[in-house]
Amino acid sequence: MTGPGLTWRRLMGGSPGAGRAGIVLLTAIVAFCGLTPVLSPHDPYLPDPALALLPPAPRHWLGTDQLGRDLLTRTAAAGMVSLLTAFAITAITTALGTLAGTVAGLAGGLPERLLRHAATVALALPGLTLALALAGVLPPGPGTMVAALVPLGWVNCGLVAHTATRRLAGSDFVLATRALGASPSYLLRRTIAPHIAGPVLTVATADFARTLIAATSLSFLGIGLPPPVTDWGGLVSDAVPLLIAAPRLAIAPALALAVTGVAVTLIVDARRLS
Amino acid sequence: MAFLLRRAAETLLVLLVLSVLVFLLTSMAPGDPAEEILRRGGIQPTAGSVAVLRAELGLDQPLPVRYVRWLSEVVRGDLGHSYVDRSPVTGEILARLPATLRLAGAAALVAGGLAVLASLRPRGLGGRVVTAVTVVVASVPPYIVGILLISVVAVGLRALPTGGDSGPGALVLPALTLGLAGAATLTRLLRADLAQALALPFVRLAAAKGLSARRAVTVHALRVAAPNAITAGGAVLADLVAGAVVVETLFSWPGVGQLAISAIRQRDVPVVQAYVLVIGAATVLLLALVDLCLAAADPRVRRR
Repeated sequence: MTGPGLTWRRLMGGSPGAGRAGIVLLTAIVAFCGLTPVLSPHDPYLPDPALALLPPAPRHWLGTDQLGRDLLTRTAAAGMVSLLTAFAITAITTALGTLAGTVAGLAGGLPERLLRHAATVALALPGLTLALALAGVLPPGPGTMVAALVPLGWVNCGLVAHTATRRLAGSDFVLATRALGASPSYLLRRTIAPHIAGPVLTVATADFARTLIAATSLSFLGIGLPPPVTDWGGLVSDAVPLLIAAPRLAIAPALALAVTGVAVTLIVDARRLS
Repeated sequence: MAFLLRRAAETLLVLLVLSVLVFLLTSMAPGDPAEEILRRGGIQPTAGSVAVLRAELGLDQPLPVRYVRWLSEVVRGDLGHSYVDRSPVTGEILARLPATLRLAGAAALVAGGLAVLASLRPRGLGGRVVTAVTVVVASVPPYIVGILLISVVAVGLRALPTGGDSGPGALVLPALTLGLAGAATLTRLLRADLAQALALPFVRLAAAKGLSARRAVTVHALRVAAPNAITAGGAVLADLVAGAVVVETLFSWPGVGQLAISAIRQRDVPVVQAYVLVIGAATVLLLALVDLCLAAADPRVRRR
């Protein structure tokens, strides 16, 4: 009847606009991250020691960092990296999970048992700890991040796709399509996929939020992407030693990340309600 | 009994998969361990000296043989030696573990306390505030919450230290940071379950017969919601142990997480391996234990 997804509505006394607010917030964040580096006269990666740690001023709206780079431009550029990384990884895990789940759901038998066992093991393993180990042993870079977050990231999508497919597999229209001689691949693409897209998308959105947190956490720990490219986690990590002298260095990326996280939660919860 | 056996077999399988993954870490790391050890010992590795050390470490054996040998050492409590200072890793982990357990324990108290507060009186001011805070916290990584707490409490109010392990006060902010993350998950689950339980006919009947709201919640509804809360509690506890690494780094808390991070920065593979194995196995066993408690509390589980 109800699930944990009902939190926002309960909490906010029933606010159907929460999902829309989330979409507006997320669009604003994406626009900010995408447009600022293009419009800004500053280079987010070019250090200029003469301009180090300037306070906010008309030329640098949020001031500059310890290497004299414009904080606003840097927060936006790092945001683009965070969003793209999380999006790319989520796209991979969603594709893998959906494929595994639908195939197992249609085929039944051995593939289905394999999926169940793989999911049990993947769910029981501590994700962040394993990601940490991989990221720590392999050289830092985008490939390592994918290797660290994809192997256990497919599970939620896989299980939801599997459950949804199994429910569909016995329904009349799927049986009819099968009887008409449709190939398994046609069945998956044209008959199953459109019907499971909704729940899979909801899980993918939630996975996006979790991936964003996990990926920026790795960067925060100093084992994400190699410099000079960095994401929000890396910016916060660089700002920690200067927390007393210049808290804005940590607050700008932290706030951007927090707003993104809340926006995605709003969207996910609204989708679960509908 | 069948349930017990099945669950035990499952746990064993997961532990085996974990051990294989952890073992493979060494072979995934770029570079040859023998060469690494020599170079870190200040010795220029030559083909001869590398070959001798490889034979001594058993690195010339095939992978499955090395795995079995490594696993038998691990089972006997020998987690190998650090590349950096050649010290036994087991001792180092054991020395750091109490600090991590202290942090995770304090965080669990915070998480449990806040979740119960939010669930017992969901309409009260405290309940509303806790729920609102935890919902936002759930969407945000823990280090962001920690940064906020440091800026406000440690830097702004100068009320508590920003990090280190200098006394009981130093535990407050790290435990709060980690605990809030746990409370977020726990509150979300417990509140939904409690609302469901409160709507059950027998709870409403009890209320209609004049039972106070407090007793309706504590005696009847909480008991119905308990199995899910136990499950959630186990998952949250596992999250706390794994998530401690981020909080330990932010607050310079001297636990195993900080040990792991400094080992990662120095590419000290045996220490990283030991950390993942200990934390991973602890998590897996914890979740298995939770399942057992659940089966004891709720017979329906055993028939699943």
